[in-house]
Amino acid sequence: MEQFEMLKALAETNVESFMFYILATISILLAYGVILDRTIIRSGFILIGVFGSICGLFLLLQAQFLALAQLMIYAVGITLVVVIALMLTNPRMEKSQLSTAAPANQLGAFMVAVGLFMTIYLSVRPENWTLSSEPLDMNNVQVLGRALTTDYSLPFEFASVLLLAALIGAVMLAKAEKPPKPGEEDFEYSVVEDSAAEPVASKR
Amino acid sequence: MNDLTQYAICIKYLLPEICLVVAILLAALWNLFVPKAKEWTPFFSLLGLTSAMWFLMKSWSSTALPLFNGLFTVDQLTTSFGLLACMVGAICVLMTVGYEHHLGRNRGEFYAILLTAVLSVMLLAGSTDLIMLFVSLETLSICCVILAGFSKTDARSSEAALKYLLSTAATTATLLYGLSFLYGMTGSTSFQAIRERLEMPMSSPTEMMGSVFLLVLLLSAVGFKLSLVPFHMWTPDVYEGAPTPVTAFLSIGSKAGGFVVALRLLVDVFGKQSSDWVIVVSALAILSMVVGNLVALAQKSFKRMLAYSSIAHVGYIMIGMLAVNHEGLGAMMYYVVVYGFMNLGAFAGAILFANETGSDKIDDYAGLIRKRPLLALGMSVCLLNLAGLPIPPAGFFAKLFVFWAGSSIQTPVGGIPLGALLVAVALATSVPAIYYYTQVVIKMIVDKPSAKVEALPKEKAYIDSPQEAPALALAMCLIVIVATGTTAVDPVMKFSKEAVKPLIARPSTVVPPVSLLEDASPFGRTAEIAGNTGLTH
Amino acid sequence: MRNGAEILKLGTLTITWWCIIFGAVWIACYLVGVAIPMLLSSYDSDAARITAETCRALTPILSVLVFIPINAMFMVLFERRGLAIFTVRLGPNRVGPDGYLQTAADAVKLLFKEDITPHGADAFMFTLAPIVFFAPSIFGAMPLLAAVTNYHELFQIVNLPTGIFFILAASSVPVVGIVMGGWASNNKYSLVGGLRSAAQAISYEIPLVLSLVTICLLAGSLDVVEIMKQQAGGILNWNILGGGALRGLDSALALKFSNSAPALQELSAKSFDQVLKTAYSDPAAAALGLVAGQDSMATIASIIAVVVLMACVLIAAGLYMTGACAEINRIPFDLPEAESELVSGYNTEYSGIKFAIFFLAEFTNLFVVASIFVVMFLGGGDCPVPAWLGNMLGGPQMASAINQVLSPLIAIKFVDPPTLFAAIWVILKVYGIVFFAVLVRGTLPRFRIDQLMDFGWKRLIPLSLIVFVLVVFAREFVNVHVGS
Repeated sequence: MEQFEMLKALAETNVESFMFYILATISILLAYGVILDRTIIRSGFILIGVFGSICGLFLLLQAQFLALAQLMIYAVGITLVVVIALMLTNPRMEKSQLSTAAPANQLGAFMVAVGLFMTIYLSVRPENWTLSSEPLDMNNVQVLGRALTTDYSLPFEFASVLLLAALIGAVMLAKAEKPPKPGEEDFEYSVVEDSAAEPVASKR
Repeated sequence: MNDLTQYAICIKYLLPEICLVVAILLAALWNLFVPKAKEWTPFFSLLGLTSAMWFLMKSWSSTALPLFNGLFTVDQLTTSFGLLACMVGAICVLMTVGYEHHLGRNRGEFYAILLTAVLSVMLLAGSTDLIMLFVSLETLSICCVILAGFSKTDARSSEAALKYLLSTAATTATLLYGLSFLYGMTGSTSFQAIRERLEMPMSSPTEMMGSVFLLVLLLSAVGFKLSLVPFHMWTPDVYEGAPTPVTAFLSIGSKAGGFVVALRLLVDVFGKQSSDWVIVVSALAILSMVVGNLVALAQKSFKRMLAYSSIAHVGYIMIGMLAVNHEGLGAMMYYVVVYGFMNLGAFAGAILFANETGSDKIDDYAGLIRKRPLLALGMSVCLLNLAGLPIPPAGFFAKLFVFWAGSSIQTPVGGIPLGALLVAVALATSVPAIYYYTQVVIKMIVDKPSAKVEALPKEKAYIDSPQEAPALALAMCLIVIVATGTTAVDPVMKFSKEAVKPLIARPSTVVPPVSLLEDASPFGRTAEIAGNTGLTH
Repeated sequence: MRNGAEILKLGTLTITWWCIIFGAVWIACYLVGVAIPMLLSSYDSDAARITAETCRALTPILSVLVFIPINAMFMVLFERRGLAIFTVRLGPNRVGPDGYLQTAADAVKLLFKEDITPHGADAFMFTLAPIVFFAPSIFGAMPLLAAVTNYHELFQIVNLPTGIFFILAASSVPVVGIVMGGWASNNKYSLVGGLRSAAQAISYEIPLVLSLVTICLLAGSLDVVEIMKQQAGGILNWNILGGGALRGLDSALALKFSNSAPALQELSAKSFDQVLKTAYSDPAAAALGLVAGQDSMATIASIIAVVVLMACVLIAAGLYMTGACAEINRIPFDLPEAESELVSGYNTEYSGIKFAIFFLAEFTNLFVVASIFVVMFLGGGDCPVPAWLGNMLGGPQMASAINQVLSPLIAIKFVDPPTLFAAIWVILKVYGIVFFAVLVRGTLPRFRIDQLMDFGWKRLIPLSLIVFVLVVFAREFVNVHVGS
């Protein structure tokens, strides 16, 4: 029986790392797909896949709330809106606008990327990391909720101000500007661009 | 019960921010529900800003109080930058009143977003946690993007917004990457914990490499906000395209945010590693001074010229920070205050001029003194001070203090001390600065009137018209400049030195952080929530 | 009178099909989850144990895989016959005895139909779309399984602490499939259908989520099993009646009608009114009463809170149903496939097995949405009759009689009575909701797209926010789910 328990534990850890490698491979491949696919809408759909596999990685880390928020908000909500916006663009632009960089630039970019990768790899090599011995609370949604309503309440609340501002701004920028009717209050002073014949700031 | 008192403390110290939030909501909703009385919105905004300033002054204290378990610290730096942001906001609101005809139907929204930007600078000033820092920095960026694109019918404004959006998105990604590294290396998001961790000796060369790497990431983000030279690409186009009050805000309000981030991150958190960043930042500062001043020489547009000159000014201001001592930081703060008002004054003048002529070209300013003597004189004072000429000596003193502090930097670079090099470059680049600023002044005062100025009507257009608000803004700026240059040099310098004190002299008695969690340990918090990983040491 | 006969026919049809569905799922689960492990337990080797564990772990997935196709087949038939009754027609009545096998025949036909990929379509995306549309409904339903089987040990594995959030996240994915299919079809009607669907799903997800969050707030948990357990004990405890707002009434009634001696003693000491009063004088409400300087204020505030809470939860239930109908593109929100405007919307170009998957997923989604409603608002597998009433009606005797009848099956672990009863109640309630959806389909006309957006953003979202805030305050004055 003891042997069985050991086997079970082994299977569990193995399944976890096995899943990690699968999900990591999928997300990397899909990420390549996003940048290499020539059809921009397909790229958008592949991006949804990338976010989905990252959601799986979060699940492996026991971060359920984060994983589900990732799926619901990033994978479906935001990226889908991006895809829809892409669908409304001119499809003929897709092919012509995508030009490849000159070979010299490509080489340069490759060198920079390799250098960056080496720097990051050397500075955060796996042996530098350690896992804390603290057991992870399975129901960490409650911990998260408590933190967000107590110590982190300021950024949490301020994020809503941020969203409010972004919402107002988005509506304002996207709304079609109606030409003001003559006689309306908005039209009190006309902007003089070229002719300086009359003072702009005339009184009402 | 304990919880409630903690909440009460937090709310008491957040009253300025709460005032602004109320003003934001009022500004946004008033236009929606009372569209007939749109002209009241600036009053609400000004009321919110002044009450925020009042509460800020009341909360001035010489001990740092960490709220929310160290997420937001109320100290002299927070309060002074908050005051600065509110004043800048108030002057920008005044400018906007005279500029409203460019904004179409969305005036209330403009004030609401402007106030949100001010609020985010205030919160940024007190952020002592990576999360708070990021949220407020993002708010500032998004508000600035929206504000830059506010003149929807103007293609340049839309271009400015798009450019700002794209570059800000790239920097945000860089910053976030850096912050996640910082968190990964130290296992905490709190500045205090990060500092304490970084002050420990580094165990391996790779770890030092990591800290340098993330310093580069953070510097690029800070450099973008401050438009230091390699990260300055967006500045001229955005300054030119954005509505002028927004440009004024960008040039000082959003930069104040950048300065405070630089102070908190570089001087406070990375204080022990100053040898790592001083050389890099000096290189950026030197580049900024050289490029900003030289390119400004060639500009035909007034706003564009101010954009390049602002790049150069950030270079000067950085010299103060590089000294990393009380003198230098105090001088830096003094420069920020003085520069802010000089710049705002120049922009207020530009708005007054553009409202009447619709032009922004430097050549069109010629002979302005014949038709609008007060405007021409006011602008001349602002510009001469920006050049660092002692008329009155506010700008001159600012430069003097900064150079004085900078000359004490002893770090050797190729045999000569860094301070000497910095000051030499600064002095050399001040010469073209004097040229391009005085050129405008000479045009306004000496030259023959241009066609646009010729066409201006005789009667005064300022009193009892929408123009009076920007005129008031210009007057306020002038009063501050004259005061800071003459009688108030000492108080302002004292204020500046007091403001940066928390960065230099860490209080010996540490106030226990105000926390809302029952089992609050200063650094256990982050580990409890998401931590569990960190580098071994 | 003819209608009556039709309804009767629908009833027999339903019961027959339920028996088929139940039988298939039950036997499959029994074989894999109980019988095989029992057989394997006689071998004392690690391989046997691991196989047994694997079989038990796979049972939930197997049950869903067996359940979904058969159930969808029946739901289509149910809907067609139900619609026929509402529109005074006969409905399918030729294939098999009285049309019982109509949808089975349809399914066979669809499987053998030619699978066409239109010219110019993005073949890969075109194939992927039905899968993306269908797969989340399988995963999304998983945590519900734990709830509707009364937390049977075989299904405990699928329960999550973030249960309802998981279900919502999974149910938000299918819209990607719709957009993908609409775009890959290379057909403008399909594209418009897909775009409409996305806009609609994103807009109506907000009131839907907010109404469920209201319930989670009331229950203090995201765990569906936890939420269901809190509603146990009859209709007065269900969330649709305020989630325990009437618990005081329930306990008072239970005392009044109970036969046990200690309870009678207690009742003699206090009158019925007093019991009721103690149940409804919450500390917070009492504090309010003290402030007002009146003792009766506590009770009044509490009663007001109870009324507000009940109203809010009822509204939340309505919001949920509206949002859910929009999420799954049911009439009156079936704009993505409005046949008079868009031929058939996003699935215009689909045929054969791919179309079948779309069809299957749509009905499965309806079922999942109805089960969420049942678990969140209608107490899941809980018997609507309160215990005191059940005792009066002879409930315990009936239960023991049933247990006796089933005892041979219980002995071989084929039947677990609590699970059986829970499943029966759930299926009854879910089909009640489905019947309601069919009724709505037979009654309401379709929205126009701008009306749809106006209704969603300007009416439903503010309303759901108001309900949410009211519940936050009202629950402070009511002893909701004390001690659970």
